[in-house]
Order: sequence, then C-alpha cells, then structure tokens
Amino acid sequence: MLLNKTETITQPYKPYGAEIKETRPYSPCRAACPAHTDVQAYVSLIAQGRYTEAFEVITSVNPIASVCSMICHHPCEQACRRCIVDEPLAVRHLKRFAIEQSKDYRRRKRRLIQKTKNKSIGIIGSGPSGLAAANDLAELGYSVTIYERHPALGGMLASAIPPYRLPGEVLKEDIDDVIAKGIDVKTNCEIGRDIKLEDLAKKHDAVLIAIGLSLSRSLNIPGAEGAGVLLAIPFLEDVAFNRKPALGKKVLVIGGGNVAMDVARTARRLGVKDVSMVCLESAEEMPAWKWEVDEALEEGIAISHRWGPKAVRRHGGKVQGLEVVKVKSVFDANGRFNPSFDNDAAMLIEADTIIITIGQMSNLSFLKDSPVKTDERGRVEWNPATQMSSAKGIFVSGEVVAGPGSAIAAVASGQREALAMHLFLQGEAIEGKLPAQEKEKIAQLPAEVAEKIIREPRRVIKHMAPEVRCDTMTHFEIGYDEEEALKEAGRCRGCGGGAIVDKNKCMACLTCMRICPYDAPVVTSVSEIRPEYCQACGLCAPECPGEAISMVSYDVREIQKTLASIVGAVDSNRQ
Amino acid sequence: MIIGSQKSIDEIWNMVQDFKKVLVFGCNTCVAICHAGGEKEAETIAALLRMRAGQEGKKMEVNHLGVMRHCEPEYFDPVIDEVKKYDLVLSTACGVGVNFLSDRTGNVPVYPGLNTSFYGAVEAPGNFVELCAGCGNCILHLTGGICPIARCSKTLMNGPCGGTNKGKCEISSDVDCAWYLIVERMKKLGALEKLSEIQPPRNWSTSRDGGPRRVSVEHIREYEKQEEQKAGK
Amino acid sequence: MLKAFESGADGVAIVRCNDGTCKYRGIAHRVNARVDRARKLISMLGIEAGRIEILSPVSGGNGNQYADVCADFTGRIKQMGLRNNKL
Repeated sequence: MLLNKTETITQPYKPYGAEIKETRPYSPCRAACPAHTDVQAYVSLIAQGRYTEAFEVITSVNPIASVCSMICHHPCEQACRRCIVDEPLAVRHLKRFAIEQSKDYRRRKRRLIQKTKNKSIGIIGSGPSGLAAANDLAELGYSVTIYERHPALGGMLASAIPPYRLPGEVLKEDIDDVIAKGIDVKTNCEIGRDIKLEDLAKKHDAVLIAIGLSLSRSLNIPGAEGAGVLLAIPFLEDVAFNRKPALGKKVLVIGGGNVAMDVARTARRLGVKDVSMVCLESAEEMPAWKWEVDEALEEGIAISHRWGPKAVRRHGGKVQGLEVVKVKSVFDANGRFNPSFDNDAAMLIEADTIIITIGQMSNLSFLKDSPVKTDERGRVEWNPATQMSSAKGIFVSGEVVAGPGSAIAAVASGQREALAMHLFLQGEAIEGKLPAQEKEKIAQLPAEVAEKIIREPRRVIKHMAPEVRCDTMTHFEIGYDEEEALKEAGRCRGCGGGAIVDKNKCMACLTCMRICPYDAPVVTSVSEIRPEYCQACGLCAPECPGEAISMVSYDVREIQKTLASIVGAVDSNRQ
Repeated sequence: MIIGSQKSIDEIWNMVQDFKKVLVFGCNTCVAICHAGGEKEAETIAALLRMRAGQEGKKMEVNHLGVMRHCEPEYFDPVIDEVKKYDLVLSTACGVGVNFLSDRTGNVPVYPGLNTSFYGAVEAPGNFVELCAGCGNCILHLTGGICPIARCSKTLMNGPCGGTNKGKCEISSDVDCAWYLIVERMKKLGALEKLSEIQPPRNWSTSRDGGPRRVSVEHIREYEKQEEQKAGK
Repeated sequence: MLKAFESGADGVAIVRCNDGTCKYRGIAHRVNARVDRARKLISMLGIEAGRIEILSPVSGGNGNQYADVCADFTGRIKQMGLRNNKL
C-alpha cells in the first residue's frame, strides 16, 4: 500500500521474495486475481507443508479467504499456465485445504487493534467490499461501524449464496476475523429507514456506501405480477433466513446466470423434484460458469436454451406455465446484448412456480434528497480517481459502481476504497496515489517449454453424489486430504518464483545458459533469465561460479544456514 | 581468458595451516568462468579448510569473499580494509591477481589457491584448451589461425618435426599435431604455397626472454595524468 | 552438502523423486554430477565418499518407500561408523 505520513500499520505477513516480486512481472494467476493474491507463494508453502504460512499469504490480501475458498470463480485457474500443458492447478481447492488446516491458528491469532486514528468511519453494507474496507480501515487504527439491514453480516454471502455452496460457519470464520479487530456492528439497521444518510454523515468522519446489488430485476410481461411468480433475491433471502418460500411441484427458473443456477439448485434442495430453467442464450453463450451448469445438469435440472419469456399463463390466478418465443440472436453485430425473437416459433413451458433471475440492481432510494447525486440512469455519480461520490467524505465501492461482479473483485474494490478513505482522512490527495489495478504479467509458456513439462492430471475435486446432495443444503464439495493437496500443490510450475541474476555479480560466463533444461537464460553483457521460460527448478543457482543467481521464491542458502542447528540437534550417541 | 585449476586441498593446507584467520578470496572473471576460483569455489575451499582444521584440531577462522577482478584496484578497493583484517589471504585469482593484490594488502600475505595454467578457450562446457602463448609477436595470419608457438609441443616455426604421426603429436596420441592442423587448414584456405616461405628465427625478446612486459596506451595515460595533476592542485 | 559435514553430520542423503516422478524432466545427470563432485571433495579430506548418497524411491510418492530407502541409508552409515575426525 502507498502510505506516506502514516506508517502505523503492523507489517502484514510477507512470503520470502515478496519485495523482489513487486519489481517483476506477476505470475499470471496473481495478475488475474483482483486482490493479487500471491498464488505461487502460498501453493509452494502448501507443497512444503507450511500451511499456516500459506494461510498468512492468502489472508494478507483477502479478508474473506474462507468464502473464496468455497465460491470464488478463480480467475487464477483460468489464467494458469498449466492450462496449455494439461489442466490448471486446483488453486481454489488448495486454498480451502490451507485454510482448513489453519483453523485453530486463525482463531488464536484474532486480536483487537488499537484505535490510534481518532477518526470514525461508517460503512453501509457488510458484503465483500464493505468487509474488506472495514478490515483495512480497522487495521489502520480507525473506529469503524458497519451498518447491515439483515440480521446477519455478510451481505449477499449471508443472504443470497445458498449454504450448499457456502456453509454459514465458513462465512462466520472470515467475519469473526474482521470483527475481532474491534469493529462496531449494527445489524437490522437499514439506512434511509432506521437512520438517515445525512445523520450518518454527521456522525462519522467518512462514510462508505457498499450496498451491492440487492434488488432483483423483474420482467415486464403479462402475468408476471401475482402469486406463483417469485424474484430471485427475495427467494434466496427467505431460504437464508429460514422463511419457507412457497414453491409448487414444478418450478421454472428464468435466467442463465450464476444466480439462476443458485436459485434452481436451491429449489431442488427444497424438495422440488421437477426444476427446469429457460434462458435466452445457448449453452455456449450463457453467462453462468460451465462448472455450475454441469453440476446443475447432474442434479437433474433441465435447461431450455434460446427461448425468450413472452407471458406468464395463468388460469384462475394460478400459474400454468411460461409462454416463450424462439430467440434468433442474443447479441447484435456489435456484440451488445440485444436479443431478437422469432414470434412465429412459440411454446408453453409448464410450471406452477416461476422464479425470475435475470439480474440485479442497487436499492438507491435512500439517496433521494441526499447530497449524493445520481445520474439520469439512476447510477451513483462516482469519481474513480478519488473513489468518492459527489458528496465530500462519502465513498462508494463494490457492485454499486462496478456493476455485477465476483466477491473477490468486490474485495479489491473495498480495499482501494479503504486506501482512498485513509488518504482523505489524513488530509492527503487521493488522485494518483491509488495503485494500478492492472499488473504486468509473465507471458504464456513457450511451446518448447510446455512440451518438456510432464503431463500430470489435476487431482479430482470430489462431490457428493447428485442424488444425495439434492436432499440436503449441506455443502456438496469434499475437501482435499493431505496427500491430495500435497500432490496437487506439487503441480505448480512456480511462475514468477524462478531464478534472477544479480547484474553486479554476473560476468556472463554462460554456465546458467548451458545448465538450464528450459533454455531460459539469454546471455549478452550479463545473463537474463527469462521468466516465461524459467520453471524455478533451481539448477542454475548453485552452479553459478559468481554466486550471481538466486531464486525469487526460496532462499537457496536457507538449508546451509540452518544445517548447523539441525545437525547439532541430532544426538550423536543415538547409535 | 586465463585458465587456472585448483591446487589440491593438501597443498593449500600446507600453506595455510599456521594462520589463525584466513580469507579465501575469489575472483569472478576468468577463473570463475573456468570453475576454478570464483566466489562459489572460494566458498567451497573455505568449507574444506574449516573441516580440515577441525580434523587437525586447529582453531582457524576461514571466511570467503569474491569481487569481480583482482587485477584492477577499483574492484577490490571497497573491501580492502576488510581483507586486511585477516592473517592470510588465499586468493583464488590467477597469478596476475595474486601478484597485484599482494602489493596492496600491507602486511597481510597473499597466497595462491590456484595453479594458473594458460590462456584458453572453452572448447566445450568444462573443457578448456590452450590456444595462445602470449609471445608478443603474432603470426597467426601466416599459419591459418593456428598458433605453432602455443600448440606445437616444440614451438616449431617451419613445418612439423619427424614425430608427427597421423595428425597426432609424438608426445601423446591425445594431442593434435599443430603443423598437421596448419597444413590441412591452409589447404582448405587455398593458401598452402604461403607455407613454403621460410620463417626466420624468432626474436623472443617480445616474449618471456625480454623480462617483464608492460603495455602503455598513451592517450589513456595522458588523460589520467591530467586528472592526477588537477586533483593535485 | 559440505556444510552438513562441516556441521558434524556422519552422512548426507540427497532425497529426490525418481526419474519417473520428478517434476523436472532429464535433470538426473546434473544432480548426479553435483553429488559426485561433493563426494570427490570429501574424499580429499579422507572422508568416505559413500557418506553422500542420492536416495530416490522406486516409484515415488509412497511414504513407506521413502522411509525404507532412508532406513537402508542410515544402516549403511552406521556400518561405516561415526566420523572419527569430527569438528
């Protein structure tokens, strides 16, 4: 973090080589993570059996690591350079393993943080971005109060992510970590209803609006109003807070996104045998993650692709089904979402309950008559350079300004916001001080290197059998055992953790070039070890006659330094 | 570059055994490239000496250090005070480095850790061959780029001796006959007739026979002198 | 390796995967060469070269096989006895 006057944070845990890594291109996994989690570092620590250190690396940049270990869409895996060899590393599942191994450690480590700043901050919303901002600001020594309209903290994580994907006790571990820092919590408190925004702004030195997208969009079609047609978020909230939603025997979910998958799979788990989905998109076009779709199909959920909703057919007020028309195309020539229909091709999908899951928006009604301006389309006016709204001292983060996104993206947004608020409260300029979000990353594996890498399939992530998991809200995915985790962690190629040359010591002798199995070094006036080629095998470092080569991610001298104490500790009379 | 090879640990031990505080000082240019005396090898020798001292029941502090070159003062000046704290410096530079450093360490003796072998090239990784003898009067243009001074066992100037044997030298079947190589090379270059010109006896005063040699580059010296004068005023 | 002997170790095992399970293809000869060098160096001090060994299980990954090859190695070191010329 960029801090000038105010160096009061206790230094977060840094893995070996953290400083050098900042001066070099990131590994693709790390660059892809919105919070820039150092995946290479923690996977390597897992491979060494150093689980609590792996936990430290993970949580140093992510206050909802347990949550992410269950539900993250893991852009790190999509970016993994092993993809072109065989399959990506199971990063998310390894994260889960490291966190599960560190349960007692993390609980012991919870500490109240001294409030050193004499300034208070109010945060509206306790979702990923609100929690992340609260966490960082508490770490900096501010008094933080979180306002949450629901009875439990976590925002969508608590109210809309179903427990079969994210068990409540997992979320609780993350929240307890944050709250233990000494954060004041006001649940069942809705801004605009229980407190006015203006009063909040007077009470605190700065306010963060982190309310996410909590309103479901509905469809403007005949028959959509009335019993038998539900909206996604209220439905999921009912499930989360143990209010039984009224479902019939035949449930149809409209939508093809990830929330639609959650809704359909939740309905299955509420005892409905016949759950189907209808969406505009083809299987390839749908926005839901492929693994979510596959898991839904396993659970017996049928998906009708490329049909658009036309009307809800009712008979005597009771829902009979959804009239749909064929979709000709979803996107226009410019790739924009602009569906066109063939009205001659129509049919009825029978259902007694319809759940609409076609997107969400923010509930910004509390901003009416407040100094926080909204634009003509109802969006909050927000300056990305300062992260502030039109009202001085009122900041906005997460999906409210970024649009629908992932939990980890909301975390990153909250962290930026926290830094901006810190600068603001210290009377410093914000503009130009927020770190770049896009990081330079290591290029793709060259083909000649990829072919030298031994194929080793990813360890399968086990799930409960579909027929078993549909009967319960219990989490359906089974964590790695230690052997599986160690083997999977061993698949990492260590991108970004490889060899570097001290230019002051290199005399361009060519030894590294001759020894490298991957042709990574290029020697001109000095040797340069190309990070996209280097596999961090470490052969070159001990061979370098000038001791000019070291490894970014591990200390080649570490063993040497510790040997004396290890050997000394051995009882020489043991024989 | 200059090729050297490490002295045996017994020989080194005999040199250093009576000293209490020894610095094994590596040179990271020529002798590092031939894996004989860079910082890495200095470290290895230091470890072996510590173990040997333990075996012999002697109390000896042995450390190692490395700089880019021992033959230019600018490279070791930053550490020279540190170096002077030792009772003995075992330099793993070539003989040039040992001489040069020895003049600049005050009362601290500098001993050689290597045998300086020759000027050589890297024939293959780990294989170093002598190709030049530094005689001070180059005639490679007359011999197809193959030096009879360095590569003929007898330093013959006008063709092979009677000991040439199917391209090999009579001293060993592992040694090529330089004159055989020269003839083959000149044939290939279409310049064989050049070899019929008789080379007169050589003037060895440019080589070892003329005493220690010195090369002075006037324009660099001139500049340096002016700088020195300026600094003096 | 030398540091271990310097610290008083009686033997040093370089434990690695076997060639089939090694994460890096075709590096065995490089590892062997380095270990051979260390063996020569300790020999120069009169220490038995056999006190340095590369251990790798027949088909890696199985804990017991690692334990077995390590037990065999310590057995061989015990036979050689403690180094009589310790620091």
